[in-house]
Amino acid sequence: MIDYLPLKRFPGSRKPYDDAVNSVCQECGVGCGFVAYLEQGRIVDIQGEEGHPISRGRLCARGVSFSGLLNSYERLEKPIYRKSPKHDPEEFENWETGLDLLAERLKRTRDINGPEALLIGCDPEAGLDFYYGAKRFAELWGTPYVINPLDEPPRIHERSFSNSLCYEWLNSACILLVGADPASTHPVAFGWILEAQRRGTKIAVVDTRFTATMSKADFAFTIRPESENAVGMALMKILVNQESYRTDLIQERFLDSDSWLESFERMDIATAIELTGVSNQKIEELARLMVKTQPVQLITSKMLAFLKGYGIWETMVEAMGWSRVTGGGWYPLDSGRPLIDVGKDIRSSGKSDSSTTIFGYSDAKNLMAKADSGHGAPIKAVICSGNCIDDYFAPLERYFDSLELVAYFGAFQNQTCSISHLAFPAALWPERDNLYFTNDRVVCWAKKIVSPKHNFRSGLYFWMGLADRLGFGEHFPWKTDQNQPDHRAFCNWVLSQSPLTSAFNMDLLESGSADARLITWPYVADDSQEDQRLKSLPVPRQMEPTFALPFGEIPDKDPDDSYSFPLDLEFPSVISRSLVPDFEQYSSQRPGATYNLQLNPETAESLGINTGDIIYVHGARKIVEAVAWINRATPRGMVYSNRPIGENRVLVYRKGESSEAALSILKELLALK
Amino acid sequence: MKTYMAQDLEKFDGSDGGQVLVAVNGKVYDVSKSNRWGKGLHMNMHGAGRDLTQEIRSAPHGLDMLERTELVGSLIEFQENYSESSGSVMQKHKNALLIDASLCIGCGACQAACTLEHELPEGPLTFRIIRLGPIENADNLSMSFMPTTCFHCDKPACVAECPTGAMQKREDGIVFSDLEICIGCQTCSIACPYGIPVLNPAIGKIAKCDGCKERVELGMWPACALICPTGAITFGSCQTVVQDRQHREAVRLLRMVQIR
Repeated sequence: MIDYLPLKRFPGSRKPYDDAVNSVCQECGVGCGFVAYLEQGRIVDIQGEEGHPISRGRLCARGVSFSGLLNSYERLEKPIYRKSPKHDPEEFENWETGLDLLAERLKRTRDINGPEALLIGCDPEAGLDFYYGAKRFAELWGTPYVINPLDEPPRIHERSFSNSLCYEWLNSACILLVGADPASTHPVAFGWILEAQRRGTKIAVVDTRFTATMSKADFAFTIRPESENAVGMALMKILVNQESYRTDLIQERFLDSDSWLESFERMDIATAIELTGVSNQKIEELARLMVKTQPVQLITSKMLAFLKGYGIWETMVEAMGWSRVTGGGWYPLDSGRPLIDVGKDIRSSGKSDSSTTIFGYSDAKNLMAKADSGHGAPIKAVICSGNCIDDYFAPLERYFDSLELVAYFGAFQNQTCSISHLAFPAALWPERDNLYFTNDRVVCWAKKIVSPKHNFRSGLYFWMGLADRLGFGEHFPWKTDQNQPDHRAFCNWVLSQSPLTSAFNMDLLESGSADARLITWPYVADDSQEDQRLKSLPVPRQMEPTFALPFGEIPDKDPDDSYSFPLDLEFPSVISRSLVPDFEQYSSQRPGATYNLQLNPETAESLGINTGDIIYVHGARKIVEAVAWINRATPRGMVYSNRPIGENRVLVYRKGESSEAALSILKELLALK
Repeated sequence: MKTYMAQDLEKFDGSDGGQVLVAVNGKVYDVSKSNRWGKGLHMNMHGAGRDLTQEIRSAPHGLDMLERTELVGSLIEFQENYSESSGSVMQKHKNALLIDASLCIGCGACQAACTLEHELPEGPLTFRIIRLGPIENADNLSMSFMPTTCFHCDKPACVAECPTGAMQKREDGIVFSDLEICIGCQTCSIACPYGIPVLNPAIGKIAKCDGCKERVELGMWPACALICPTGAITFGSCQTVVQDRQHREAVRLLRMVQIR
């Protein structure tokens, strides 16, 4: 066996310190281990944890920069109250007054509009205690509307334990990344992909624009936005036509495998490929590569979950026999969290009967859109975390004006904070004890690193305070002797609520964190051997495979929109922290502009736009100003914004020029293709 | 008592689960029985099999911790890192920071680590990643990253031009600016053919790669090399890093001819 022994590394910190805390980085789902060195309670240095099996002492830019954010001048320091977003904010000295006011306002909304007028949005930055607290509170309050962008789609949580640990990618023959750019978003995990490539693994990348990940690929092509799952369908059709799938496996694993096969035989591949905007040959070449180099590890971005036909990726790995094989399987990014029902004890005691189904992001969109049909928005109050209005609530932004109450729980004074009636300063993850699930399904109990300032509180504190005021206090019993929330007891209880995680307890997780041992769910009691983890996973029941989409029938895009707004607008596809959603800050180096918009050189030239020009980005509902950046990474029919604008299709023109002229130029340019 | 050369000591770094030895002030201690030295690593930073005289000074505990362990020998003068140069001056061994641009993904972790290590404000870039592309290449696009930092030149123009003598070249090759003396005139930025030194506006002095000189003296890798998520930056004596690169390439070629 030929092997390369990496250079011996000499880690450590040169700075004087009086305490060192080992923890897990929660900036993304990779879950790197690190050591924070502290002096008098202040972080003086951060170094990777050398013994950590996933990160091996390495970290990324976000993993060392978080300490700067803890003392950022943009942090929200005190609870705030505003009569309306136009009024000047009024600060409270303590949380209690703010919570009293929130409870009172919520009661008033409920008396007039009923409990279902409350929508709760949770982002990853607020922490899992905020999310589970919200789910439990909503159950008690009687609203089914709790959104967490990472919840979608629910079906993944039910089964599909086929994702592997990052370092197992070294055993893959081929890694196919769809819509995912881990080189920018998950650099430490991408380190394993590059290492696999050095060992001979083929790297294929499909994305809507040219990314850093693509620059390292052996085979890559760009497709039109939102057509990722159509690529999956087209690939499956080719694999079915060639009979490359495993007949034995589809009969064993799929319900109704005959009609599944038939649906692909009937599928209109030409329309699917047309939707993606690439040539037949490219897709066929990719299919050939995947058949030649097996097993394939599929890595997909979270954004694919919001599109039709997402299940195709899981169906593909099952049909091809790549799942539950070392080096193969499906690895959806940001999906390593089990579904835990934290409201079932309340329901069984007859207090509430709202359904257990997950309220998805697309459901929220539909719900808000009802406002357009003349009935007024059924939602009157929103409690949200993170910079949701610039992130997962961006398409809903225009409804926010009509809301009676917007309460914000977050660490920073961002756009969402500025439109809220009540704002509560949140603790960031280094300031609280956290339960954390990584992409790899690793369960961590990550201890806090620094003590939060007086007014920074956790999500559990928020929900507990609210529950006490609304008479639900008995359902939030996790308190210490000092009447403070007991996170450890709460998380222990959360884990006990699902058969997938009930075998865990905090002692086990703590010992795992102490010696950087990975503990994955579903828990296998005897994990002395690595292979056993794979073998002892629950045997899957027969699954309902994802059928071919009827491509001939669904229209591609709204024809009116594509007529007046010819360019697709894309933005960073990872739900990020609420202060700086810009991953390209180092490479773009264009500070100062709120929006910067990347344009293809040909598109820019025809419109007379140069890098640095101020341009208008004009959508169906909104016009924003942006700074232009000409960049070949963006295809001709697309523009790329550093932040979501709340539009999917836009028209772009220089400030001071007419939109009609730009429209006719663009139509001509894009029709030429 | 036994005498140890530095090279002998290296074998007892505990990585093989065997005896764990450390040296302080010329004395060699056996710390195998201590539960704080699992796998030869103490507090995730102090490696065994080395002279820790410098490092223990920054530890929260004193030498008394070592008195509780077994004294097994003495360390004789650390010879390998010094070589006779012209005259009677002993010269420090030179180290190299090897940057493999083909592994760079432009993530900026090196800059972030440098910023934290040197407490820089946002703005001055000590580790620039030049993005080449994307450019059209046949019908595909291609893009590469060129991470660039100070080259620590043999005949540094910045040192020659510095009016105050703040910019210096250390005997182990590191070019750095002594911030006590630096007046922030930026003559070095103009003199440097690569424009490497930049102004740190927070303190009005020069910001530039100083080779992590303090860390290197304590036997640690520079911050940028440790953090790099893809292993594009490595550090060691010139011989070690070149050998490592050769070994890595040889293994890659061998794997290509092997049937997978």
